[in-house]
Amino acid sequence: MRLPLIALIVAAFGLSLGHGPSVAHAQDAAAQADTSVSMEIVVLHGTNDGTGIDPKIGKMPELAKPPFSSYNSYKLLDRSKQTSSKASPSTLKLPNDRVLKVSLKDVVQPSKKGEPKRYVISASIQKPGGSDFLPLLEVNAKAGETFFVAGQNHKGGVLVIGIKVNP
Amino acid sequence: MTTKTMNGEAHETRTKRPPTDLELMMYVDGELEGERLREVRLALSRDSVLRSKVAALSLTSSIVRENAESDIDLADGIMARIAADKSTTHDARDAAPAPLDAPVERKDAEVKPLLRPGLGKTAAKSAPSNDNSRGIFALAAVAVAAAAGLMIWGRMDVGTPHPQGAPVAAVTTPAELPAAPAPTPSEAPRAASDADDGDAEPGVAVAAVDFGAKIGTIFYVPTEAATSNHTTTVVWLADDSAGGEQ
Repeated sequence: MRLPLIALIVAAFGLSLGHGPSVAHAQDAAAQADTSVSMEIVVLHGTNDGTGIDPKIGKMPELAKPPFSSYNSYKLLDRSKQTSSKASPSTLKLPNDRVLKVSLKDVVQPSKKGEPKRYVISASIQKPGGSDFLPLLEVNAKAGETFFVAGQNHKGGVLVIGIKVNP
Repeated sequence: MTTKTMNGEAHETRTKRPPTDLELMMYVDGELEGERLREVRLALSRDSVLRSKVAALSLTSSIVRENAESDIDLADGIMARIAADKSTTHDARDAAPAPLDAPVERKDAEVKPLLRPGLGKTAAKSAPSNDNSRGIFALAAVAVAAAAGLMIWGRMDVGTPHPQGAPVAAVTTPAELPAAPAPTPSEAPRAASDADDGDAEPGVAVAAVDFGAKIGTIFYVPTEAATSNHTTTVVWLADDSAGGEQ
């Protein structure tokens, strides 16, 4: 009587230990395919010089809404495509000589069918001296969604950095 | 906690620290309360991975509780055994006391061995001293439940994006936003506090943020018409001094 029970317990633990790594291995294999991601980074300069929104920026309705509406003019300073991976973060030198570092931390597979996968993106901004302006920002975004890091003073206005994961 | 700053606008200030596994367990057990409970609920409403974790924890907890509550009637078993022994070892001491004036012939109490001579070893084996099979079954059930929980937990950890010890996320209101006029009520952005109502689904969820020694704000700005729930996440972090670095 006891022997089958002990066997059942051992089998259950064996199943859990054996099955866990196999699932993890399968998911790791899927994650390997998503180790790098392409991102578009735009750098805008917001001022109140009355020149309006630079047409090169494209469609960005958020700029007409607070907190961006604090400034009536936005000019495109830079638009670049960066490829980031878990192993190698991408860096971008900002107009104020600070360095934006963006890296892909993880790719979260959708829990339900039909949902898009999400990307865990980490961003930080370092001052020229090496100290951190923004030590860490970690977001969870779908492809095509833009998030902004704004507020750095620059030439009488502010810098607005938009980061988007390309589909 | 509410802070009134930023050109007189009131904004909720809160610590957006992703809930730890221990806090999730406490949440499942109903032991979390107060502000942290609200924060964990907010995090759950935003993060499907956390919701899955909580579901797995709930399942495990219910299975374990079910087995723990199964009746292991140890006391009943002992009492029944004692009663059975009484019936077979009934001796003179259990009888009604004899009158004092009657001649009393004292006898030593009958001593019976634990293994009754007539039954032999095989009979003793077939009748164990106590029935612990129920306990073994309960132990097996708990072990299976624990194994299932471990399996589910192992699957969850693969997709968990939040490392332990991640920097504390702080959604705070900036003391001053340079040249940032107060937004009109009709066009005010949805600050992080407004996401609590569940109407708005932030497009980009802030998992962790460390503003260092500075003060920053997270805005959820509507991208389309006011009726749309889609928002854009804006992290606003100003330089310490006016003018900043050029």
